[in-house]
Amino acid sequence: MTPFEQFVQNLAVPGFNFWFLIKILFIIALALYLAFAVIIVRQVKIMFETLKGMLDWPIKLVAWVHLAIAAFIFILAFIIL
Amino acid sequence: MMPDLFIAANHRKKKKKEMKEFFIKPENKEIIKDIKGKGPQNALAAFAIHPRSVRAEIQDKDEETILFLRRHIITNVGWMLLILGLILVPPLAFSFFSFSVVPLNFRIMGVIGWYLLTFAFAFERFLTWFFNIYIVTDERIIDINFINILLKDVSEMKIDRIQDISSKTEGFVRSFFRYGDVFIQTAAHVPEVCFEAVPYPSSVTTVLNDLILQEEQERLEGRIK
Repeated sequence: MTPFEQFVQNLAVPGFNFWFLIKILFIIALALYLAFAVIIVRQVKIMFETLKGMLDWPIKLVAWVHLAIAAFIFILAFIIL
Repeated sequence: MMPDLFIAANHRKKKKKEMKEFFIKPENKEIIKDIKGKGPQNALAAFAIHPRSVRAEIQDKDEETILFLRRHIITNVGWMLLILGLILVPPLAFSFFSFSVVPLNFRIMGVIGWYLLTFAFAFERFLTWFFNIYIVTDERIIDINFINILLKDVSEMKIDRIQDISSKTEGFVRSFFRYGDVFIQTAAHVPEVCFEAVPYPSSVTTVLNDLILQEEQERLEGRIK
């Protein structure tokens, strides 16, 4: 048994659901990530207002797809965890 | 009497003509030969002369872009290698450890989370490189800094405020790929501007010196606004 596995088994005490705690932490982290993805979309928009005429739509598209994936994974975490 | 607007239009036309002349002067031909064709004028170029499509928001309508610069593309190699390492972490971790004690759904989410963070890091690094730009126009130097995802800084200085220009290329990689720093001392509120790791620093210095000479010439002729 690896030290990590021993550590996880030691946490399995009655009345304390270790994996529920990890799920909450996952969801908090993904919510923060979602906020970060929104900031990227906003920042890319602002930067293209500052600087015009350079690869506008591919980068905007990547930022929006990234936001969509972040939102999808946030929802996925609720379903599969 | 002619309106000022007409004088300004003439002044612009003359300046544009002078800039075109710079690029056909025999003594500048070596510089142009040196830098033309090597800095492709595409959106990911680190060096472009007279890019037609790129404009900063603060540029005037008739203000011509002479040079467009950003850090040399080779400066991205470090973080790209790091990304490659980060991509390989989950397969390597799963080949060395079984993680059998971790439920499958948490393993899946862990891997997805890891790759999300890796992508975020790569995209942030790319945007930082892509939007850190120096634009030299016939009137001024514009320095656009995208320090991180939350901090943007745009500074500008008039060409006639430049006091001294120097360039530095040191180290094997910089000499081999021909990029370096250009330091511009000014009399403006920003005392020094540094074009970091830009391609062909000595050519950039030559172009800037020529622009300064033109500004001085204009001042002597009383054409400056």
